[in-house]
Amino acid sequence: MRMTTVVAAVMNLKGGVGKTTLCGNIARALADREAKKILIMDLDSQCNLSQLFFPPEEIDRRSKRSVYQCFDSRQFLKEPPYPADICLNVFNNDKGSRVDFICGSAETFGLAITVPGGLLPQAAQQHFNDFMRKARESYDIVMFDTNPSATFTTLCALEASNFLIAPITMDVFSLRGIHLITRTLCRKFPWLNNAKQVRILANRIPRSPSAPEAERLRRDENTIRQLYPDLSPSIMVSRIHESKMLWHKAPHGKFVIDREVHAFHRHRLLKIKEDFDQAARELLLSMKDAFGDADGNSQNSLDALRRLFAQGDLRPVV
Amino acid sequence: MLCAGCSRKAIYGLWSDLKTLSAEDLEAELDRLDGHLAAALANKLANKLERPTAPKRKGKAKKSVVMPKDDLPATRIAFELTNIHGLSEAQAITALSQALLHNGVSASKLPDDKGQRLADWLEALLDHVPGSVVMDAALKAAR
Repeated sequence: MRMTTVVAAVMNLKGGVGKTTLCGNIARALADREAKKILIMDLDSQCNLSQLFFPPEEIDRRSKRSVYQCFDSRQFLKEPPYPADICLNVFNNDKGSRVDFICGSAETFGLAITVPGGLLPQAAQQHFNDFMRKARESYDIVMFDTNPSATFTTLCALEASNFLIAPITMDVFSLRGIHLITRTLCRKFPWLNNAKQVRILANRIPRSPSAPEAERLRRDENTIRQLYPDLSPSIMVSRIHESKMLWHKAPHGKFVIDREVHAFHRHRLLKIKEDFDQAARELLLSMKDAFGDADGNSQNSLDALRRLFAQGDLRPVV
Repeated sequence: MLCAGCSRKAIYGLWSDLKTLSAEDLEAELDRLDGHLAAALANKLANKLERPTAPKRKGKAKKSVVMPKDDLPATRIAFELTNIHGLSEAQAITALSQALLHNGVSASKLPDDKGQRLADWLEALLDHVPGSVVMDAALKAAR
């Protein structure tokens, strides 16, 4: 029995917090950490994540094998594609991990500005849900790179998701973006109320801050925890530090942490790799914590029973 | 020294006075002024001491907390417990274990704490419990 497929939306309503960079590289780190089959889908019509793997002209050419096919229900009775029909394998390792990628498409922009509720959007959403059912059967983790607004495609992604990875830069504004998601959208998506299913990952933290700067960072984090106490248990301890390595795009077909760099810069790359590895460890544990695995479920049930006995709420029948 | 302390006009006045004196006269004059000069200097010093001065600004007494060099999860949690909240390593392990158990974390996930350093204990803990859960429990435990 394997863990429930985790469908994670990488999302923050504030732009520029590093959603795309983190989505790709965390998927890669998750696959490195444990044997997992991971699917990444670029739902952003700007296709920034796709540019990591394809040159721009190739993205336009791949329109027939892009994420748009997961929504395109114009041909009635047309079955949604299988992920294998439209994805590209971008990473494999000896452990048996695999990362597949479905390219974004500029055509999703038309969908993004669609007003939900009409017949066509309903059909598109149904088509997407059918596709996701197939994806859940084939993968352990599915990750969506979303755009920074609550558009149709983003709402479809949240509908299909059961986990939120929300990158923030350490300021109140980007946490406000997550607060908007969890407070406003929680009526439509009640799972957002469960702190176990939301993880907030701080990005662009200075690598070697001066003592006052480090103190300020600590103070800022505490302020954020006080301002949004319900989000406090979701703030990850692992952090992604600022690095010039993440500024530059890797050559097409490679994740940033797989870049070949001059020996002089290799230590920087190793540090970034360590950051993503720490984040992947914490995320995997969080996912198991939220959904349980075969052992975890039974252990949790036993622990729950033990607690009830200890509190005197439950007595053995003699 | 004179040039540094006096104006050009004062030095010129002094020279005008002195140039008319012979060496013996100058010697005699200095002997005469010796007592006066000492008294004048003492007077000036007393005035300076009595003059009220603006109170010195006192800066806020800042806690000198040295932040940890590395920003790894275990280091940050340990720093929060020991340096910020002043718990000893053993106290930190006990308090954190209790807080985690209270939050519903399984006892089987807590590493054995016999003779372990806090950082090592936390590193072992973070292999089984998500860091966000540990940090949240640590902050509550320290309060």
